[in-house]
Amino acid sequence: MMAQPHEAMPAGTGPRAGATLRLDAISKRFGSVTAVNRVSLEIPAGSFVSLLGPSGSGKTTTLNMIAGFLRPDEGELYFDGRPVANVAPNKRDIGMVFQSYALFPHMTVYDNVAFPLRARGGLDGAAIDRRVREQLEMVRLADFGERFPKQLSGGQRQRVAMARAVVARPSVLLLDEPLGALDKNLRDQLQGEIKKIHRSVGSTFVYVTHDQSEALNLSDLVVVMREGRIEQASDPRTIYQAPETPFVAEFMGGANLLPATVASCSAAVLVLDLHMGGRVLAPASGSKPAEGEEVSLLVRPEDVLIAEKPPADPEVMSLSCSVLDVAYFGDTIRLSLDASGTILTARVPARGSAGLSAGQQVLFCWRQGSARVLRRRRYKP
Amino acid sequence: MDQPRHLSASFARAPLIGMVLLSLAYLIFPVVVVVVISFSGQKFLSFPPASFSTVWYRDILTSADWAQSFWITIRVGVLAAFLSVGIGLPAAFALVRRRIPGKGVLEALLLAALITPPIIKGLSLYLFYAPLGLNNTVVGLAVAHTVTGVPFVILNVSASLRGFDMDLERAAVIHGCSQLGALRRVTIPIIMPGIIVGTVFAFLQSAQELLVALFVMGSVQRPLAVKLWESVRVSIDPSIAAASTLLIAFAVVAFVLASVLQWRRRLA
Ligand SMILES: Nc1ncnc2c1ncn2[C@@H]1O[C@H](COP(=O)(O)OP(=O)(O)OP(=O)(O)O)[C@@H](O)[C@H]1O
Ligand SMILES: [Mg+2]
Repeated sequence: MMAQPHEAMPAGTGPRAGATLRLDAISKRFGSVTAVNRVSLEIPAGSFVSLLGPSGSGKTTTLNMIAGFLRPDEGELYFDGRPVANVAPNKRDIGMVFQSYALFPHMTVYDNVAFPLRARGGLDGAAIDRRVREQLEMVRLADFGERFPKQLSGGQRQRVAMARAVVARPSVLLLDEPLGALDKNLRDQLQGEIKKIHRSVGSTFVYVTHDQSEALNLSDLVVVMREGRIEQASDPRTIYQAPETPFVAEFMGGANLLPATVASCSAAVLVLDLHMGGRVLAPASGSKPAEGEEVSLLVRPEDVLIAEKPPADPEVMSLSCSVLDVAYFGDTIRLSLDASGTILTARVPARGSAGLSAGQQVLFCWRQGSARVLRRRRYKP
Repeated sequence: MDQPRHLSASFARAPLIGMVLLSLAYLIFPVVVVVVISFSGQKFLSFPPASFSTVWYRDILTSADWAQSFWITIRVGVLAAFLSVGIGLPAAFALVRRRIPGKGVLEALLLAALITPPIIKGLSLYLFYAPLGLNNTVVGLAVAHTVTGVPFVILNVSASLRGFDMDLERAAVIHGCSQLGALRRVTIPIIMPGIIVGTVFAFLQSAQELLVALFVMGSVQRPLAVKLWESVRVSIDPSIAAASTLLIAFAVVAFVLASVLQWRRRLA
């Protein structure tokens, strides 16, 4: 396959649409470990995509292949339809924010931010100076140009790293857990700033994180990775409300997953035998499981209703359990419940739940239609 | 409030500080003696001297013989230092960054070069140089001193390289530098203190080395160390103390320069 190394773009030519990225069945092995396993993904130009997954799931390895620091063992990578296998990292028109920022310690903030413009060439001194000042303004560090990275706080360093990464308006921006080293408040604040920067520079952002709320908040597309493979790639709403696998549901946080066997799947509604005991109805959405298949039933904590008496409505399912713990959050309370050995979580409005206390026997109820049946993912060997 | 604890801590620290001062005094005492004697006003070595003067410095600095020795030492040392960096810098990169089979053996050999008895080095180099006509040449002695200088550079540079964050080099490359440009603009400047310290060591070990120098450059023109040694055997007057003091001054100036450079980097 012939690769045309595309010319390094002239730097700092103002906002420009990002590149379309296509990962075509790329794999990377380190010895016996398959860090990335036939990952295919299409990332639209100018979008914000998050790679989300637990430690060791292959997020950084994927990012490093996009950057060109690692060469895929198999598969091909395309920028705007062009294969980039033979394009060196410095010619890929990429900006990058590293987890530890990797600011050059021997240069001032100004020189750090000017670095990409100088290294790419094509701009004269005055133009570079103007771009750097604009960029420092954008990340609210206009007065910090003469400082060295050591003389900045964590949040300020993060913003310098961000400024350096976008100053040349690269068509792709890679971010490897850029907020991982910061405390919660700062992270929330900087998420907003990253969003703003994404809107104003228009590059394609690929953002690695293992914080699901960060991914949900920032992205157009969330890619959940597990053991080197893509478990699911969807928009944030779908990934949260309609996870395709138990792993995704669990990773998105706080879900109740009830293991079950499919008893009947003939009608529009499935009948499930819960392993903890009890037979319930569940909606058949997506691909239909077979009779006898092992599945998980997902009940979101916010979809749970707590009742004292068995509900009359046949659409409402219920399990009897005892209250383990009541946690008060102002507007809502979170209940931990024990249903014959399985720990369940419910989030209910605080108003009208004043009487609940630990040890009490209650019914854990949900509307049949609000639950989801999740099939285990089976990979082709 | 926490003053008592503070006090007891400093009491406990007092003997420790005493020990440190004692060992320092032990190490520095010979140097002090030499420096003091070099300012002696007498014609023989005595400590402490009865009177002081700078007459021995005038003696040495105006003597063509001593001047020649100084000049040789400087040329040999500078050349040896440059050769050591030229070989040691790429070697350190290879040792730290590449997977080389037998890396452990190589590192052991480096240390061996440092601890080989100098008399054996001197003898073998002498025999090796004789047919090449390298004995009694500045280049010959510089190359001989490079053998010990290279490990100094490698040890210092590889220590810096091991502590170097590879992401810095990646950041340079992804933001538009070639691999070579990243080395030049990011890696080398950041490990520069290690390079400088290694170079200074390489120079100083050459300037103070006697045994190999005796074999390779002991007859016609003599570097400072050889000249000192010979002077002691001929006449014992404080001029050798003055020469030694100048050698010490070399070392001190070199170290101060190196530390100032390093300190400025650390501020950065
Ligand atoms: N250079 C390497 N040599 C050997 N194994 C590696 C290397 N880099 C990564 N791996 C392995 O590949 C797998 C994926 O690693 P990767 O760094 O991509 O995970 P990650 O999703 O970024 O995890 P984290 O959230 O901890 O950063 C891991 O099992 C890791 O041990
Ligand atoms: Mg990682």
